Amino acid sequence: MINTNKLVKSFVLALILVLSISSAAFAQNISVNGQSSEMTTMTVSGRTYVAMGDLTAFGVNGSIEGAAITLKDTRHQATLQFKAASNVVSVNDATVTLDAKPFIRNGVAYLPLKFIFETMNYSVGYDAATHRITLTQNKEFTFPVTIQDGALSYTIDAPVDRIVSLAPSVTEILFAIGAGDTVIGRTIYCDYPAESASIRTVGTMYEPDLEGILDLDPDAVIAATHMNEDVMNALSNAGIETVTQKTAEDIDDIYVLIEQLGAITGHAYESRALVASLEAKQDRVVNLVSQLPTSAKKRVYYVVGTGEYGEYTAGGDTFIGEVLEQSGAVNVAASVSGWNYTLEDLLDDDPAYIFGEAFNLDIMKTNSNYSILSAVKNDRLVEIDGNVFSRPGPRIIDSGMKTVIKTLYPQYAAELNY
Amino acid sequence: MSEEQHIKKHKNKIVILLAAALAAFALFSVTQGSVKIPLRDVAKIVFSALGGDALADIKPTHAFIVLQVRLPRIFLAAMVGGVLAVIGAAFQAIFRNPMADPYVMGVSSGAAFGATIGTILGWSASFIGFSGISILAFAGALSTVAIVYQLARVGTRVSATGILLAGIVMNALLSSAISLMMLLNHSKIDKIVTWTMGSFNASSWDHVKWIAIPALLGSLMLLSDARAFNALVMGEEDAQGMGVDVNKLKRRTLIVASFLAAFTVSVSGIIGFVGLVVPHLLRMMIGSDHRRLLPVSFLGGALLLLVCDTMARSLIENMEIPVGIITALIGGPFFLMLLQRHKRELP
Amino acid sequence: MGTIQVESLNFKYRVKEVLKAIQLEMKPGQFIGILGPNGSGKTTLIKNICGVLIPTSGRVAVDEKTVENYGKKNLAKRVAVVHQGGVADFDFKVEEVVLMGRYAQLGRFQSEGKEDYEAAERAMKLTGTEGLRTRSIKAVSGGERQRVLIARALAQETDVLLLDEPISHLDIKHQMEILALCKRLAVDEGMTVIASLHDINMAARFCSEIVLMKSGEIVAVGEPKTVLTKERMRDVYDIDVNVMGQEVPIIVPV
Repeated sequence: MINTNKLVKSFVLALILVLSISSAAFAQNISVNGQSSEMTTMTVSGRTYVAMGDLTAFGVNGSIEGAAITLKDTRHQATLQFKAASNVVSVNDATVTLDAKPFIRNGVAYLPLKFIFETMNYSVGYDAATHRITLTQNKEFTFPVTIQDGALSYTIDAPVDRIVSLAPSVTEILFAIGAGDTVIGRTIYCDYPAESASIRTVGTMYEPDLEGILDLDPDAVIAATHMNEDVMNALSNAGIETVTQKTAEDIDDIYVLIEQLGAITGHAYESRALVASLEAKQDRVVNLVSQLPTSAKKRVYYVVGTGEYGEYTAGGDTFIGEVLEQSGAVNVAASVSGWNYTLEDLLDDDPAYIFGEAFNLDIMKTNSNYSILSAVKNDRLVEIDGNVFSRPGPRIIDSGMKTVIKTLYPQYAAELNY
Repeated sequence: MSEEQHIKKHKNKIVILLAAALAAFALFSVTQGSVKIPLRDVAKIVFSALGGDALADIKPTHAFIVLQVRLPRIFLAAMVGGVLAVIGAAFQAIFRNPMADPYVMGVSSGAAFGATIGTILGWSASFIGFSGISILAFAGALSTVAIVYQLARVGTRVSATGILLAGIVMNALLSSAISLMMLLNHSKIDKIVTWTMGSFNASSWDHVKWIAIPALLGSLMLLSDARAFNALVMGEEDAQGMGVDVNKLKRRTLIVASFLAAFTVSVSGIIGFVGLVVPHLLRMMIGSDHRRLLPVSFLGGALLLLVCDTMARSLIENMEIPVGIITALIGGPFFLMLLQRHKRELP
Repeated sequence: MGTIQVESLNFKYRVKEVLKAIQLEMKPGQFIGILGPNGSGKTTLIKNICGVLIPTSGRVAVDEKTVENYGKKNLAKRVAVVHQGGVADFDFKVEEVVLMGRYAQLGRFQSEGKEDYEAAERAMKLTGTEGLRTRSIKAVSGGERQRVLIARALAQETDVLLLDEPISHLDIKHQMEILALCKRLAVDEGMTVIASLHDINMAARFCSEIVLMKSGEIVAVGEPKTVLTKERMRDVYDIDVNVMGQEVPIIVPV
């Protein structure tokens, strides 16, 4: 009896191992800039990892010290610090979190391939015909950098290191790419991350304090498009570079914004790491919900404003709408463009879930007009952090999408361990 | 006497015409909205609500939209329109100035001030179906009226000029305060501006219930003074000579009408032009006898605001236009046209 | 009925004494003309009599009861008044204006009955305004308007009629019409008619009594021929005049 028990136990253990590390390490042929190359890779829960040693060919020297894995990218003078079984990575001064954790096996460190190479400025693809991963090196960012915003274009000659940020999303991104120390002025709404509290405020994004900005003597002012034009002109006349950014309309716009901010602050490397980590998370969410049959997808309404102010939501062409759809929600207001909606349409749609900030949900709970909504009756009013969802920054991908998945499809929540 | 009777008949015709138009438009309005509900279904829903058969084949949300969204909204819009026109007429009488409107006492800026504070605090408390914003707007409106009244009062007398001046000053003061608060709370600007433009979005039977009683009682109180208004517009001293207690009349009217204005503004936001245009226009048509002018103004105001609100919710697909914008867009040019025509008639 | 007693009336407007120690008695059947230069207190006196202004001291009594002690409506049943100016931007038919005179007789929601229409009809007949009934008050001439306003006052069916400068701004024909009407109301209807006037000769011709005022005080009261003397004209108006005429004095400035 004891023997059989032992046997069963060891079999179960083996099974778990196979399931958790679903494939063994093997040499894989990878196309690097069109040249064939061999690398040792492993695939664990849908992510391809590359052995640290194979990175030497790309000018990256790795070292392992206990759980700590340190990579030195000699071509970019950058340092990446991983820790086995942790998804936190330091990329120079910046810290990003990964959707997949690096690990050490048989003395060999395995690192997420896509993240590493994207950070190193490669495009990572997959050639379906040859079943090969393709790596293509991109052109390096060099100053002067030109930034396009609609019809406007800006040329930045050298890295800027004194920035006044006139949008909360810009402040968040600058901190996320390790350029927090370049932010010398912010709006009163820039409240994330907590470190930004000590930065001097220069009013609001629409009515910034011109004298305050001039007094800070910044290299650049980075603002949202709808900035007060007079202030902008005054800043230009004072010789301060003013960069406006159109409000992101979709997720890609957010990535573009992150990379642009990386470029002008000299933090291109970190910005690529951030975008790579965000794309990986987005990709994981999209893959998860792609398993869902259409009939199992939950219908969701996102409240921007409600009650006597009128109904405002995130239409199909907004970045919030895209985040909802990518997270497997059916946005009932997908057919509208922009932010306007009507009470009647909302009632007729009868979404299963309503996402919104507490004060909007309170209106829906107390006003009898919303009493017929299933989401109200079944208490499926989901309180969200408006600052996470309304700002086109890293957090809407990072924690926003996770919130949607956790609420709508809790069965998948465990797979998003970041 | 026959000519007299003819005139009376003509005037009665206007009452009947307006009442019929109001009823007809209310019916039409039930069928309008961003969700297309077939006429037959609307009829069935309304019929069933009146005690008819159950609604086996109709989507419950459609029934809800018709009965709980459209109908209370129609009632509320009509009632607010009616009340605004009546208090407009009453204010015009006691100020003996056909350019006075329901907001002369500072009700609008007071309400906007209260609503702005509510919006900025994000106060989501509610009371008997009214949001915190509505309640603060009501409180703001009444306090402003009280301040204006105190400023304009000399002993027991209130002078019209005093009220107008105090009203203007309070308006300016509060508007600047609102602007300042908006500037400091930029993220809430949209909400504040939307509120001040007036809207019947999210009206419910609760609103109707709580507004109906003061609205009807107040309107009746004003109507009971109709003959005194007639005397008053001939001149304050003349009116007193005819037996009108002018000071009491003015005080009573200011209080009742301001209360009503505060009630309407707290449920619907600021809706301009109805209270100014309707009594003015109807006075041109039926003369200044307030015994007729007040009830006819109620009907006219109800009809105008109902038409405007129906447009507000159906003009642009999937979007509400604040009704205050429509009343001004329609009322303004219409008013100018009338003035132009009226000018030609003058010597 | 219709006796008015003004007893030791003083009226101050803030600190300025406008009326000083006025003592007067006016009786039914009299048409009293109040004369005096600008600022002598004529209008103020009329406003004190009809209760628009309250005396600082002393009192005005109508049929022995002090004016303030009447309710507003009750006073309006005793005393009717036509002030200067009046009629704003509001449009009424002449008949509607005349019917307004019935305000004091009617309850809050009561509409005019037969009695009220008859009273209005009588008032219009007396003033010769029947033909104007459907015209707008804004569209009639100055003289017509004055008659309509008097008709409105008459519709109140009072014993006393007060008129503040009823003939200013009117041409001579209309002046004569209005004053003849006032005289008729006093003599034929037995009313107490009191009017403040500027035209001395017109007053002399139509009024049964003249109250001559100067600086808030009454200089003389009595029949025109006893009041309107050369000396008083000099004293009150500061002009030299010749007084002509026999029964009715005619004042001609030198």
